[in-house]
Amino acid sequence: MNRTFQWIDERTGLSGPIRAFFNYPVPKYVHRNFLYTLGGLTLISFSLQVITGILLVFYYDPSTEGAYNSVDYITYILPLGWLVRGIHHYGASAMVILISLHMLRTYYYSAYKKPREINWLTGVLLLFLVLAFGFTGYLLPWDQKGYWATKVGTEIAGSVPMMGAYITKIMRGGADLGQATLTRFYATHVMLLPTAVALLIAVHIFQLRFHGMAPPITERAKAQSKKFLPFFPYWVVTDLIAGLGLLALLVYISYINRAPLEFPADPTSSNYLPRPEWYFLFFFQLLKYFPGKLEPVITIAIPLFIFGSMLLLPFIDTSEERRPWHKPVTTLVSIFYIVVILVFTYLAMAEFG
Amino acid sequence: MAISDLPPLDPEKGEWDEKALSRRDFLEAAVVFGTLAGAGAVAVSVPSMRFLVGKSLEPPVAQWVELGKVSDLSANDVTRVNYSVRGTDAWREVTKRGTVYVYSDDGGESFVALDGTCTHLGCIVQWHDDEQKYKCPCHAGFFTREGEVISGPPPRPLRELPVKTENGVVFAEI
Amino acid sequence: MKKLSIVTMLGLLLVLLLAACGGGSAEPAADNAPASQPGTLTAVKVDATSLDANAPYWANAPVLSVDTKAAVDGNPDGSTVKLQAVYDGQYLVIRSEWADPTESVLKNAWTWDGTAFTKSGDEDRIMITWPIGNNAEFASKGCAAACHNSSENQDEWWMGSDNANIRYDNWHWKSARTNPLGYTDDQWWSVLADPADPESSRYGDAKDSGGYSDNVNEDKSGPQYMNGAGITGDFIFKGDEVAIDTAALVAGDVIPGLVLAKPVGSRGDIDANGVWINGNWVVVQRRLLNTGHDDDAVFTPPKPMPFGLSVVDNGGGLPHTVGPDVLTLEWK
Ligand code: HEM
Ligand code: FES
Repeated sequence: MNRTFQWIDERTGLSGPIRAFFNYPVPKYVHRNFLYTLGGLTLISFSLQVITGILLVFYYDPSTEGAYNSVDYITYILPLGWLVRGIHHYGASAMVILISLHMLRTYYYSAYKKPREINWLTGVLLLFLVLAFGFTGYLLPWDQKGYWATKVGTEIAGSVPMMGAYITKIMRGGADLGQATLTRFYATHVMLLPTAVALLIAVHIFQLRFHGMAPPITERAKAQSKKFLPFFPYWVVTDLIAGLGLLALLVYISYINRAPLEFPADPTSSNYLPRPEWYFLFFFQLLKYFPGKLEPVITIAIPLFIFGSMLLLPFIDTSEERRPWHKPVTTLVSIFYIVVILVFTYLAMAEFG
Repeated sequence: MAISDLPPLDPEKGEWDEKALSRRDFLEAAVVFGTLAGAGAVAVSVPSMRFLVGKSLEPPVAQWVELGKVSDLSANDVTRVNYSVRGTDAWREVTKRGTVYVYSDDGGESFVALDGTCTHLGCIVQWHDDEQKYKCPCHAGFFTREGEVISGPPPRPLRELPVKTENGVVFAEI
Repeated sequence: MKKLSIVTMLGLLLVLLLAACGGGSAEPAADNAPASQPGTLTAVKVDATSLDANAPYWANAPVLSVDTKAAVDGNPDGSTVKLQAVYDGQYLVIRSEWADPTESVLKNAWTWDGTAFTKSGDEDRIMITWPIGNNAEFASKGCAAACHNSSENQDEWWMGSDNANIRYDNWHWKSARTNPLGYTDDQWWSVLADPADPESSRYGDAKDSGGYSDNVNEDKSGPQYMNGAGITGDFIFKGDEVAIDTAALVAGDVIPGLVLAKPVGSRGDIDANGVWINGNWVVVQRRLLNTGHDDDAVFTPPKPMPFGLSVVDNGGGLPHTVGPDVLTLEWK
């Protein structure tokens, strides 16, 4: 055993880096703290999406004639197809929830402050890429839901002043929503986004390792901040338990509630009410209050403002203060956003019944 | 990786927790991790394998295909029939196509149908009327009119298909 | 470790359940025949199904009420059909009940006036139409997707598709021609076989033998047979027919216009039990979820299926009344 190990090490020189990776000192206040598992859980849920996504690609047929039939086949005929698609479907929602909670955790802990700006910036990009995963994946089954939501979604992008029409056409690969759209959404969903997300995650985690955990904010945690535990096995085991819990939950939800598949897309149906995935609902709802000329306010100005302020946050909030209860501005702003999102999501859900 | 392996920490930064230095705690956590990771790996990979195998091992669905009217099939010669039949190909409705050779040993009373797929590596054999044999274009396999191997690499005779005649129309089961 | 994992699980459970709520459906209460969601027929899973219209499980199966409207403007609307469905591991059963003041079972019957025959009469029907394979247009528009009514001349209107790959499975229950032998005519629709014949898009499923035939003599002036088992019966079953003997008839006798036999093969896949009582038809139909026949729709619970419904009161063709839009069969 030892000799094999030595043999490999002599050729690869890996034992040093691996050892350093495993022995990485993690402050004790992080140990067994749920809030600090959120990032790891997001990573685990991404891995689950990758695994189930690769499995789905074995059967998914990215053509307007075949897409619906293949997802139908996966859902109702293929052994364990309901499970793989279910985990992918509900896992997408779980990933959005987890990445949001993880972001809120780092936000309230002021973890974006110097020198961790890049950590925060890669995180913001990851959040948008995950939403892009959701948007592109929604179309793939080529059912009524995905077709009409994408129709509306690409139309919304068209409200950008001046270049709107070009954006819509580029997103669709032509004037109409059709095969070209499906192919580019598919390519984005299974090639572009996974690669981009994986690279960004690597940068994100390298940053974390480079700077170490942001300083604690509670007195209790501060008292433990000079004590360290090695990454392996103490931290990984908590993440692993949480990850298995997540997997069990996704299996359970997939079992009791088969991933939905509506009837196939009919471009001529006139009574279908388009409805986006739940995490875009608040945005969809907000649109209703800004009709006509004001629409670009919601479609362009507000998203740009939010995205911009998230990117600028570490450069605006440069004080030393890290305790949210001593930073009323950032805390209240975040609460405002959360309330807006919750209220408009609720209103939209109430409307759709 | 034994505990003694833990590198000393910069005193400025802090020190290892005593838990980290306890062999018992370390082993306990490592065993829990190993067990769970193993269980997780099995829980993910076994269903994944099953999913990937899917329906690939299921026998193909047998189907009767129309070869033609009795009156259209030659009573003495070998007739090549390129059939096409509606069928399900995984999740798609398709027209399946293939080649069958039909001949009669009793002057058109009953018919024998041979699957035109070579038993060597699956090329489609050709009937040569002048030589009265099937020739496989791929690796020079030869078969008699009845499908027996004459020479070449094919390991088995051509596959004979079940045949039925209904209302003057001949069908073969593929 | 324990505390952490419990907290983790609970937390995740909460957020994910919230997320799953979007796709969750409310459980309908299992009291006396609850009402269905609009446009949705919910098939309830039971241990074993039968053709019994009074089986106890019908008390728990949600009722979908469909108001049928005239398919052609100007015709009267039809009655309200109450639909229910149950299924077991093998069969789907659909129970339908609708008001019809008259029981019409003498289609093309011959009335003897002492010297000659006159032909009259039609039948009551209910039709349930399903797409064979996934069909986007049918799923969003129902039977309207199959309706070809653009011609000025109503006689040229037809039901079917413009593409041989688009097919429909039509369960055509007929009070005179199929119900007496306990089955529903299993048909399918597709393209017009003969562009000049609007009925040529409707095909009967494959059969090896059996099926009904017209009871008509060579010069079409009267019946060829009468019922050897009793002249006055409403139906002649295959095997009972004997050559017509007008000497045995008295004026006013009615000879059925059909000789009935149950088809063997795909055509006879659907069993039916229809009874007319007190101005109501109650029809129970049962078919295998998957018949294995190419000309039939396949049911794969829990996959929802779109369907269309129409009823005819003593007639055929255009006077049919249809359920509006598309209906959906779901499974519980
Ligand atoms: C390498 C990574 C991934 C691959 C290869 C992949 C592949 C696929 C494929 C083939 C489908 C179509 C089958 C189906 O709809 O069930 C799909 C659907 C979908 N994916 Fe992914 N995916 C990946 C990652 C992700 C991620 C990270 C997210 C989320 C945040 C996501 C969200 C979705 C959604 C929302 C759908 C639609 C699911 C549905 O309702 O059917 N995917 N994906
Ligand atoms: S495939 Fe026919 S001889 Fe090789």
